[in-house]
Amino acid sequence: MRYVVAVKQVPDSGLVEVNGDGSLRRAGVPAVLNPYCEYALGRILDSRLPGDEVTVVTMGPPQASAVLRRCMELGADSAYLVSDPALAGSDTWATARALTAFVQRHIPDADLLVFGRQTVDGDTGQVPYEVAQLLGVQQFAYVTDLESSGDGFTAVQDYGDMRRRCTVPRGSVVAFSGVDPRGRFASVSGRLAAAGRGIVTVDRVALGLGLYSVGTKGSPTVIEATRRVESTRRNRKVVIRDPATAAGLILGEAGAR
Amino acid sequence: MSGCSGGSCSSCSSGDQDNPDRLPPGMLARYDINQSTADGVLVWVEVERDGDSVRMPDVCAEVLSAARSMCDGRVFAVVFGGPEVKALYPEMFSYGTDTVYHVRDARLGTYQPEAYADCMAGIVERVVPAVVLMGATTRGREVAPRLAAILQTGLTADCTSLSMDGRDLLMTRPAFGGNLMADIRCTRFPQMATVRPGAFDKVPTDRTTGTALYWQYQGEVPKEVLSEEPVTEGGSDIRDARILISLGNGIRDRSTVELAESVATRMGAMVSCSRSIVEKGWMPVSRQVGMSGRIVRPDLYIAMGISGSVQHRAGMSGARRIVAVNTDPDAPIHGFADLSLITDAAAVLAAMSRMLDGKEENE
Amino acid sequence: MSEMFNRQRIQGDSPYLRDESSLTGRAGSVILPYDENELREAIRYANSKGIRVTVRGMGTGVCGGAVPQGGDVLSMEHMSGVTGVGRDDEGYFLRVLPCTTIQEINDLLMSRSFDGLEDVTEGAVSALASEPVPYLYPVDPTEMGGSIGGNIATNASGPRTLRYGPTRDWVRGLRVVLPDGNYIAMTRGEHVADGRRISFPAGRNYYSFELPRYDSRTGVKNATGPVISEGMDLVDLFIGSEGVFGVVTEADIRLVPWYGTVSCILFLPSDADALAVIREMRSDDLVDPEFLEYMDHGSLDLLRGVMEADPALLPVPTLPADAGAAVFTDLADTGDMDARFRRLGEILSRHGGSLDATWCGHEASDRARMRSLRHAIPRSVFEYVASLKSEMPRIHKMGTDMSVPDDACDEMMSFYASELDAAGLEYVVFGHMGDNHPHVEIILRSMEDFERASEVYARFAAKAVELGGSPSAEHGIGKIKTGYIGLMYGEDAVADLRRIKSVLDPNGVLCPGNMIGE
Repeated sequence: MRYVVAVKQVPDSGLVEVNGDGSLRRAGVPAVLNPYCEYALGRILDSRLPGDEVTVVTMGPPQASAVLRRCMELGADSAYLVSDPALAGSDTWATARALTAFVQRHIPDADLLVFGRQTVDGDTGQVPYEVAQLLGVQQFAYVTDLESSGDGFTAVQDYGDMRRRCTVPRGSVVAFSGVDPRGRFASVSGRLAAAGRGIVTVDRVALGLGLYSVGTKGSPTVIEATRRVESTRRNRKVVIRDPATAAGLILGEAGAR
Repeated sequence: MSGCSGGSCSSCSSGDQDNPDRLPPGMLARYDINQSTADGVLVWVEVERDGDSVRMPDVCAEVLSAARSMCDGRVFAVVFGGPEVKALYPEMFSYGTDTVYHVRDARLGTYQPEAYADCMAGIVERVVPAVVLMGATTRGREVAPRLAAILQTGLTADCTSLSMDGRDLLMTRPAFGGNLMADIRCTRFPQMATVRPGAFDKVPTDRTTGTALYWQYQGEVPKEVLSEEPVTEGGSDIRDARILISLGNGIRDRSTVELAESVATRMGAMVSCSRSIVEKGWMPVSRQVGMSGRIVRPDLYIAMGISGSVQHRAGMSGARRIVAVNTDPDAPIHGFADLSLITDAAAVLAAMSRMLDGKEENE
Repeated sequence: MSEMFNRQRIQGDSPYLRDESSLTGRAGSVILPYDENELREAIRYANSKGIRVTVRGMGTGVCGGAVPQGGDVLSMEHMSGVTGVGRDDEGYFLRVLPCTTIQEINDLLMSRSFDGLEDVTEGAVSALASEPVPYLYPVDPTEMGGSIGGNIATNASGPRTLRYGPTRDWVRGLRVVLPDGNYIAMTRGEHVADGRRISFPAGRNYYSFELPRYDSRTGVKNATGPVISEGMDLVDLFIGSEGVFGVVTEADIRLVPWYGTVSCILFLPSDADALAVIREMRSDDLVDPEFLEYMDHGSLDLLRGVMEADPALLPVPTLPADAGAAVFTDLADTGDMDARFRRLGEILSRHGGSLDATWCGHEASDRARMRSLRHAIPRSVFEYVASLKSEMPRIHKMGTDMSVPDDACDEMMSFYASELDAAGLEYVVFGHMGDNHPHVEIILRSMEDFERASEVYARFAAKAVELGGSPSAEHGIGKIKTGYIGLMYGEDAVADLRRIKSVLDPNGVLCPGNMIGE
């Protein structure tokens, strides 16, 4: 089986701060592999059989190769970096088109396209299903379990109120639902093995996409403005030594509902 | 959607029949056609089933209400299901639907994201709405991107505010865990968004009638569903609680969790928590509020010993009232609470417990 | 009583009466100076009234140095922050207030936003900001939440001492308030002893006295009082002397460029294998580790228990089931990493390990996660002991802090094992084996355990000294280990230090009980 896992580099989310003008303070914020992506990759690596091939791909600036390196250290066999200055500013649709073009051009024989549920920075969770449509394949969201069966796979999906098992034909898009707070570590041998493997960089021309199909020009959504959320609450701060008084205030609040 | 879609390949991007100076080739035609006629709002109405009875989720009523407020007169609803769904018509009309497209197809009795999106694309082509909305539910967030990709348009996830200026939609969504609000526009039609549950009020009207059309879906239903079972969660859902007592890192003693549970039971509240409590293993992840947990919007949120990280705030900023109890006067939670009590949370819980006991004795 | 400084009564069970040693003290008030003037005022007042004051930083010490024994607590908590950047022939240095934590210092340096910092030397702030790599303060005392003042007071060291040495090596200069209320600002080289006599002015006073007659052991990791030698620098008298001679109000600390590291945890079948791997890695110039931290089988079992009870507590995967011991190490990310790792693989395979049974990562979050695992060991022991405190109020955590020279390491390790086994005590061994400095944490289940362990502990200390090592390698002496200077250097040494104390602090008001007892 040949797996393609799409991953993303994200700022370590606990550290992102917003300036007064609504722009993000990114300086000095370390970038990490999106934990949802790490989880999805981990699930594939844990269930891989001898002969299976796991390829990771990310779209991002050149420094996003760091997360590909990490993926290979964790056990991925090969890695592609879709990177081009023209891709900057892509929304989910433009991202999906670039990833679709990548899969069609470079790994048309992929047996499964694997995503994490969402990223911790964008938080949209849209790209997997846009890619599925663009490729004309089935999509499987919120997957909790995946196993090989016959020619393809079966997946268990958890929609919150309903759980179901489906047949997953080859070539489908699968998005794993979870994240592992304990995370993973590569081994040194994984790291050594990864050191011998290069990262293939794919630019816009190699994707066969026109300038107006990618980046801000190819993105139908436009961020018009961002602003910091200012509290609209009428804050009343009370320093209280006596817990009973505080308890009374809270029960008063609850009673007033 | 065949091979070359609007300017996607460099080989055919030199079309000179359009106006090459202003817009990329391929995009222009589509853009112009839509611009001239698109109008109204199309909403996907999900159906919750419990045995034979059907119910419209609150978020769909909220989205319909929002749609009506923006564009009275051309609000379209799409609903999938058999004859039982007719029972929902009056409710749909009441929240502002003008025309219901009822897709009656036995094959679509189970949820089919590919076919649902494909079918809705057909209805969009017929109706030509300016806006397509759905609730940011698990299914909405799966179907919407697929539909957006069919329609080759943009999609904004999890909006908390929408406004229309003519046919142009301004979408607002929180980014970076609610620290930031982004105003987003879409340059193509239809403009698509998923809407965060609870972001809008349900506004029923007196209307109970409208137009209902059956829609025949001609396409394929590819997905093979082997089995399906409803998930009955152990205990109730913190998202349904009216009052939440939420515990955070300031809670140092595991026994306080039990104390909070007992106070909550007597108050008709539920206990939720921040990530650190889950990490300590004191509460299950289903009780966690925040970006990696659940998004709650109770009437009253009592944050006990919660510092109020960005991630946590993302999950609870929609609460109607927030009371923060934290010994640290500089804790960020105090910045967005209605009432800040600078004192020890565990002691307050103990005092609440005593007071509730006293009250019971009096009655 | 009108006062020029902020003084509050201490009520009941205040955190100002404790540190992490499980000792509890007593004090009337806490003084909270906001700047040096208030501090001087407070010390002058205390000196004139004979009120004893115990200086306190972040309270992370484990030997009771910050635990007051009567008198007042002088909490430095408001004197915190980085104030300036400078550069001299030896490179960049940072000017910091005493209660700045090591974490805060390194976070600021990592963030590289130095707005509002003062140029101690011309253009140093912008020069540091535009360096291609970040600079860090390299001493890693393990507890990153401790204050720099506390680190200086104990001459703290830690895992990275293997490469960078103790705190003392990184202090460029100090500003110290003496018990008479005067201050002295000094940079290394300004006040050097002439043989064994040192003289310096402070305000209107002029001090001149003989240094102690011993030379401190510097060949091993050692935090037993200040480092004394002929011709020593006055700065060194205040480093490691645990506040008994003066209060540090500002320090210049040196920085090193930071190229990033690869953190690794190596799993091995047994304790002996892990110790052998550490020995080989330490002497291997190619592998060249930043530090070597040991976790014995007992530590791993303790961690497994913690992780089983509370799966989400530690952000690391399950430990390999067949791992009997582990080594935590960092390699600086320079040079031919592949060759270094291959050499590491050869070392591992000689001792039953392999590169497969390892964790490694180069992201900051990886390192933080591995650290959290290593950190969980002493914390778990501490929490266990604390939970027994209500039944056995006299109990305190029993952890050793002894280092020995390289060639005595094996002897010391087998001495630990044989003595503890003979006493029937349960224990875990972990820590800075790169410096022959493991922490032996003795788990005490009863009062009898406590007494047996105390006897064994005394024998360990004597053995460490006999082997040419130090009974207090990094934690300092505080109030728990007084007597160790006498043990190492003889009672004359203690008498000499007390003589200096009586010159600088004739009323004995500053940090009484620390280092040299009372």
